[in-house]
Amino acid sequence: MSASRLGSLCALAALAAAACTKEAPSADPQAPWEAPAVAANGETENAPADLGGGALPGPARGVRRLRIDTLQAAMSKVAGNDVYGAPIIWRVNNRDGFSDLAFGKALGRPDYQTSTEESTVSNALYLKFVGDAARDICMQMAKNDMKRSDASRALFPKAPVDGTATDAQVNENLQYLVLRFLGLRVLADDSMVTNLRAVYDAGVSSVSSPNGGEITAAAEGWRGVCVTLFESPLFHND
Amino acid sequence: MKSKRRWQALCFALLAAAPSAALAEDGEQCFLHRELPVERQLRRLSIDLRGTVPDVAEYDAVAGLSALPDALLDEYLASDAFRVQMRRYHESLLWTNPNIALADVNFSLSTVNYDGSPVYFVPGAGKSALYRGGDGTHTCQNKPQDALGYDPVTGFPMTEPMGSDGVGPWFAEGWVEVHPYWEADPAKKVKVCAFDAQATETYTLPPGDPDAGTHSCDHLMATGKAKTCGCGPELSYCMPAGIVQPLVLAALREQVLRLVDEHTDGTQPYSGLLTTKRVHYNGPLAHYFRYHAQRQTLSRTQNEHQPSDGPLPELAFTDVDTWVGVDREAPHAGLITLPAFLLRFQTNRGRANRYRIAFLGQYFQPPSTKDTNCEKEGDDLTRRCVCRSCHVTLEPLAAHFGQFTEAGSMSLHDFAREYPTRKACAKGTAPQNAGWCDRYYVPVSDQTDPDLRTYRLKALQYADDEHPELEPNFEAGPADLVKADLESGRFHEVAIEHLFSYLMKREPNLDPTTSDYEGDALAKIAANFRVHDDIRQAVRDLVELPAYRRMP
Repeated sequence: MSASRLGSLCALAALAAAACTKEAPSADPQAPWEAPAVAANGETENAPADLGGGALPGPARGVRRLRIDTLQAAMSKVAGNDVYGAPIIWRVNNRDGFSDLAFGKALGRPDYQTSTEESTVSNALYLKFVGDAARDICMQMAKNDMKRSDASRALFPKAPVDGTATDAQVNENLQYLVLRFLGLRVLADDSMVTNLRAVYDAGVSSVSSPNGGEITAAAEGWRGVCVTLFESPLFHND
Repeated sequence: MKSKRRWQALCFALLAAAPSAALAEDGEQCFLHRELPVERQLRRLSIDLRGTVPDVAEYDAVAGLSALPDALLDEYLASDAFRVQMRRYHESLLWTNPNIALADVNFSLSTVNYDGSPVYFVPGAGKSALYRGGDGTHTCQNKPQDALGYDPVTGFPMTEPMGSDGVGPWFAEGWVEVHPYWEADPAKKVKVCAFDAQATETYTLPPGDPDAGTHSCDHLMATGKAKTCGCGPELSYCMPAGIVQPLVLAALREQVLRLVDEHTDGTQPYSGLLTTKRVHYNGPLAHYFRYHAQRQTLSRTQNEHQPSDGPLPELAFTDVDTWVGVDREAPHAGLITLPAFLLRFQTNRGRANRYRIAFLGQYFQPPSTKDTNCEKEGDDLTRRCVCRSCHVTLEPLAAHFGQFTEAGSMSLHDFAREYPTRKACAKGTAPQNAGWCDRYYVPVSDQTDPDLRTYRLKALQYADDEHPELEPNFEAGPADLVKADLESGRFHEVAIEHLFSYLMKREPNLDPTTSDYEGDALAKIAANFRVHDDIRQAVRDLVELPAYRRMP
């Protein structure tokens, strides 16, 4: 299986996994749910009157994926500017990949002529293009960061990429990126950080160091983290 | 192999990372109704109100807070990004992005290539035959007109015989160089066939002609009779469609959005979107409505500027970024009588239906039961089986748009309501034209004497004793339709429901028999909205609902 197909499948599966599996209990006042008095093992037991749950709040806001306009703006904002001050965008044949001259219409941006409504659910085409955009933008971020000093970097401001980064620095940078990409402030021992650490390590080990390329092995690791975060359902949900 | 392993690692991490965030702070339990962390609240608000995500500095600014500060919401609602979001929101309601042909062969400019440089000409066969004879398929020759000269009596460009075609002999003039209106640089000129480049503004038909008198060259009716008429000064009457049309269509779209800006930034009441007489023109629009709109053939959209459309500002075509506001008169009513809306929904029924969907939240549905005691045949849809279930409601609504032509944006406010005969109807325009009559009028048999057939504006075809509401609605125009919905409060109620769906990403629960009923909360916000009439405050009220801050 090619890397891109595997990536698409993986992102599709991840989106599915993001949907919570536990449904809210019914709140029908006419027919209150009664807890069974006999447990699965056949023993009789007394369940607490409200199962400890208390009153159920009303329905919350729904969750939809970003519209294409928002996705375009969000990816560019997270990516920041290049070393010349121009915003980093998904480039396809020297065009913005999200523009209508490239894949904007294919991704579903309505023009109110031939299409009047934007579907805000993910599909295979959306995932494929998001993957393309993520890989392109993340490579640009990594290459531009290689030309910057530590603090001004967008992708790895907290950890050096010359092979000298400590575990603490790597974890601090991962926390920074989770906040930058997803708007989540997580602790260093959060499972998200540890899982992303595995991505980083896989990226670092995938290229030799020194490799003579434009980006170092550590920067390759951060590029992998970048792609992962851009493909995360938490990035695409608002 | 290394690459594959890396992707497997990515996949594992992605699958593991996504749920872990959703399950955070609650063991391994995925549960509903949890309040979002303040950073995710900020992200949600930023996406909805600004169309993008916050940066790290903005996340840091709310770190440790239990709720987003009011000042932040104020800042977002006052931002230019919110203005852009409101533009998109209203476009998704109204679909106002017209895509129509604004030119036809009688005034569009094509080019013929001579020695590598284009020479413009009008391809209409009738006019070409008038200029050059033959079958009307010929253009000028590759020669400057100065080399041929002009007729000292008529002033026409001199021609040379070029041969004969299937119709007869044909002749050809040369070309001249003209500065065209679409070029900002006054020194830049283009080559144009000399007949087509004529700058005459009027033509006169002699006594004895049924249309004797002086008429404008810049009109559809000038096509067949006026050899002295060309494209006018600086080619103003003609249109290179590839250059001009995209600018005009873009300006028609922008014209709506500028009105949206004015009524969503807090400077004007939101309901003014449907009541204001204000309209904005830029250079391309002013030029189009001054010179081109009245030239369109009757089989295409009719957009001729009318006195009730207000004065056109004096702008050059090249003033693309200069917008001037002017006031229109009755029957105009906000954005639902702007050309972009009228051209997007080209029938009065379509206009009424979109109005009903966008501002009343109502949709037509065919009946699910058999219709009885109705007419199985007939043109009157308010009586016909099945059709009537919608058209009884739709036809009176559509009559409110009757003062605007269908398949066009032209106001018919100043048109005669009816003519006694077809001949009189054809004389309603000059030069007289039966096609013009058929475009706007329809014969209606007298109810007492079927032999008498008056020609009545099409929107009044069924305005009779059996449909007494049609004529009053026609005369009242869209303004009265809007007025009733503003007075009833329905406009603000539906606006709140639409905004709720836009911000909450789901429909509100308006079933009062359920425990999750949200109608009371919305009714309260709508009642306040009706008083302050400020959409920014309405958005603030909605995003401050507890549901907005919770995970689903």
